[in-house]
Amino acid sequence: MTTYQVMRKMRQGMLFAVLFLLGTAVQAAGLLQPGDGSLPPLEIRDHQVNVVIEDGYAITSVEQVFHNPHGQDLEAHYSFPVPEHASVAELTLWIDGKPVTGEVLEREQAKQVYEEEKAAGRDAGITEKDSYKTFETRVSPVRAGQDTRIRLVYLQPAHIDTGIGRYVYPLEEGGVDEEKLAFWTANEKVTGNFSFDVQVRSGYPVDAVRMPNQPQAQITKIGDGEWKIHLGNRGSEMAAATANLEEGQQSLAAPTAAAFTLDQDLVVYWRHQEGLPGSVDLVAHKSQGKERGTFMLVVTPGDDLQPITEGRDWVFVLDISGSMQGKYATLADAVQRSLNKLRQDDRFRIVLFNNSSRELTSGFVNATPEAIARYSQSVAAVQPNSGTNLYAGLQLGLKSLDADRTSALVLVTDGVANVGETQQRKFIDLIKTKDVRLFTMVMGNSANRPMLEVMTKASNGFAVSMSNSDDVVGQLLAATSKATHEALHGVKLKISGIKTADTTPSEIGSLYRGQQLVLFGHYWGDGMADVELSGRISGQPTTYQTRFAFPAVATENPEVERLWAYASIEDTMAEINNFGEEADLKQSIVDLGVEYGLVTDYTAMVVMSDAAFNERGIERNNQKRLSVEAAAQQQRASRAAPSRRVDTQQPMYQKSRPSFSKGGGALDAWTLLLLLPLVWPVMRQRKNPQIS
Amino acid sequence: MVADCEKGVRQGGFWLPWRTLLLSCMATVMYLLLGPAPEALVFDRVAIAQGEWWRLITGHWVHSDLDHAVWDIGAFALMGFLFERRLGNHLLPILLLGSLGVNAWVWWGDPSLGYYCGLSGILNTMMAVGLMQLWRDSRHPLVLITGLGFVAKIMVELLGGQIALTSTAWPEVPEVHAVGLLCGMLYTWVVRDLLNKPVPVIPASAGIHANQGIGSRPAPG
Repeated sequence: MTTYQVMRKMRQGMLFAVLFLLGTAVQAAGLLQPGDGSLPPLEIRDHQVNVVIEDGYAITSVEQVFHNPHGQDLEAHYSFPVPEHASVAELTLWIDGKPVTGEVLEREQAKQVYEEEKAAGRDAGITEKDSYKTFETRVSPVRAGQDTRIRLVYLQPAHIDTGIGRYVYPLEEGGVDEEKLAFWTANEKVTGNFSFDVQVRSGYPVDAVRMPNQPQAQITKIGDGEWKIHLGNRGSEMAAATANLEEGQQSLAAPTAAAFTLDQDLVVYWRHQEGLPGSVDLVAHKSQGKERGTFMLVVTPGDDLQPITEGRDWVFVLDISGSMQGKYATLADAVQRSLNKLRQDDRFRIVLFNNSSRELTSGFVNATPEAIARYSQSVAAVQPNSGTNLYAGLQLGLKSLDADRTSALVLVTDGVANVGETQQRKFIDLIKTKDVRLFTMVMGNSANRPMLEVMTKASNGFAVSMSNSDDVVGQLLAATSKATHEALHGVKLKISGIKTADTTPSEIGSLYRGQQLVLFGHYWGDGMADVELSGRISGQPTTYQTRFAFPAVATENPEVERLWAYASIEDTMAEINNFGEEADLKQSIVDLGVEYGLVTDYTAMVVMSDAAFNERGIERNNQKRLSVEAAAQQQRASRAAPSRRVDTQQPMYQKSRPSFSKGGGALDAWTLLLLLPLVWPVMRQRKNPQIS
Repeated sequence: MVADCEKGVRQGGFWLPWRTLLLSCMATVMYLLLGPAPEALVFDRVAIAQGEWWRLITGHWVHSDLDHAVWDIGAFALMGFLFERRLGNHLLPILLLGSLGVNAWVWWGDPSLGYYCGLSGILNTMMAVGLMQLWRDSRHPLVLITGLGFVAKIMVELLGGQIALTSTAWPEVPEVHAVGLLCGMLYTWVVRDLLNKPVPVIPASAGIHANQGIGSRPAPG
């Protein structure tokens, strides 16, 4: 090889390396390091995730070991996307081999405490929330040549849609924060043990569990409503493989010691048994001797909503900004499949937006197979680039709607408006200018989900999340099922016979086919309550009623308190995003965050040695709360998941729940009765073939 | 004699409808080994869209619970006894056409149906072809009455939205019976040219009448 060829190869290698770095810059969960290389990188040695999904919520525990292979002490900075409606409730740092749990303080105070501890060279950690985008955890110091162990725990609701539950462990960063992209690079490689264990524990029978795109996941049914999933790169797989080989069986998982990369979301689906009744479930927490309790009421409606038969107009408003690059194939696939689900008497328009908006179609197009094929190809051929002028896209989408036809606007975006109008209030005003339902498909983990959800709710529409790891067809099935059926609008829930307050969401809005209504609140006393759910279906008032008891004492689900608090905080944040940051609203979030130990936009969780907590006079409220929760979790783990259904005596719904429905045609006794007489002519003819 | 028996066994006959028996055994073993509605084999819309095409076939041979399996496999065995001799080598194409028809209906006719399993849809295809052949061969009034009975039963199922006397783990989809029946009628119409081909018949003394499938008309032994 000549010197010229060697130099050329080197240049090509450098170019690929630069492109690779650009391509992976902060596109995943991982340890951040300055892109200029001013600090050497740390390693993620272990990353072990344990998830328990039970009683309508998920508890995710992420235990990590960071390793510092260098000769100087360093700070670890771990970033991961904010999971849907999740709040960090625990940050534990192992100090001198002993786990110490963190406490929540007002954010600025927490940062100051952390910086002081860090400057003093003492062990400390902090977890903050970067708006709707990421949770950021910093730990200092990770000592030279040593390991540091931390645990993060977060809670989030985990509800069922059309008979299917969905849990996402978000790892894929959206790439929507350009400043961050420019500054940091992420080390997302787990060099040691990676494991992901999920327990699904349901009071209702679970028929199947699925982890798309992870064929090596081990899925085990433990009981009717209990399943376990395990995914990992070492350890238990090796043991399982060995055990299987000993038994002469084929191993389900191919054991591998390869480093695991935290760049792809892990999605778990679980499917409830077909034909379960519409139901009302109550999960409550009320300590002995306390007057006030907290509840989570989950209404799973029966299948009362009829299909919509009239032809409709669909306007697809598609985000083709640069941040959509990693998701655009999924978007194009989803749009093509959606177009294919339109009926002959439907019409559609397609609007694209990045820095500005333009229409791909020329006005409404009849949903003929030819038009669908043509525009599917056109959408797939688009190259995403530039910024996101969401407002311009919506504005163009809302133009030229036909007042005589029912219209729906399907917005597919990663939802970060950064060009043109970006104020949430303006978006809500815009969407309210037309009588149109907004159906939003939220792509990726870094979308401005709070804004999209508020906007969608304002139009009485619905939002569906979509990860690159999702079953696109499954998510579309859920969306199509909603868009093609009537909905219960103007939903109100009235509880009488027992005092309740602080319910959230304050406005419920609409319930689409397959959706559950989840209401948090406080109650006083105990005893029977009358519960009435009302709304309008196609303009007709509809009411559902039931009657059940609120418990005097309930100690199995203390986490409900935090879930209530976080749902209230989300309501308040929506107000702040609408009307601006007012001092009393901000203070109410700080108060709730500190009282319930939740990381919010205005609070952060800080951890340091027990002695440092004592010195600073910081009360260990979160430590106490965590010990109560740990005891309850241990108690729950020791028995099968119970049913939380409370309307068995007086069911709220007569029909069973909707589902993506599965079925089988079964033959029955009539079939056999009809066939049996034929034996005679058949036998007769076989004995004497001349008979005809 | 032995040769006659072998020929009869090979071609399908009265005492040993081997194709049906083989397939029934396969469905039974699948149920016993894999249990109800095995996740990897049922018709699963999402999985099929992702390329798991085998479900279009396997979905018909697995069942949602014991009742479902017993009724379907039992009816299949009885139909094999009644019709396999007439259907002969056409049995597999008939079952395949039934599978195609039911799959097409589930996929396009009921997009909200995400999962499907069971043999009954394609059994209606087999029954339709079998009954029409039996009627053509025997003109026995019982065949006509049975045929009309089946049509009436399917109408009742369609109007009532469920299948009488059956309660399986997965809800009933009565439309697949109608689709299966139509597929059977279509098959009979498409292969009508083959119906009139003469078929050699094994002497009655062997107790077995061989044939080459649809169109065979028992000849004097």
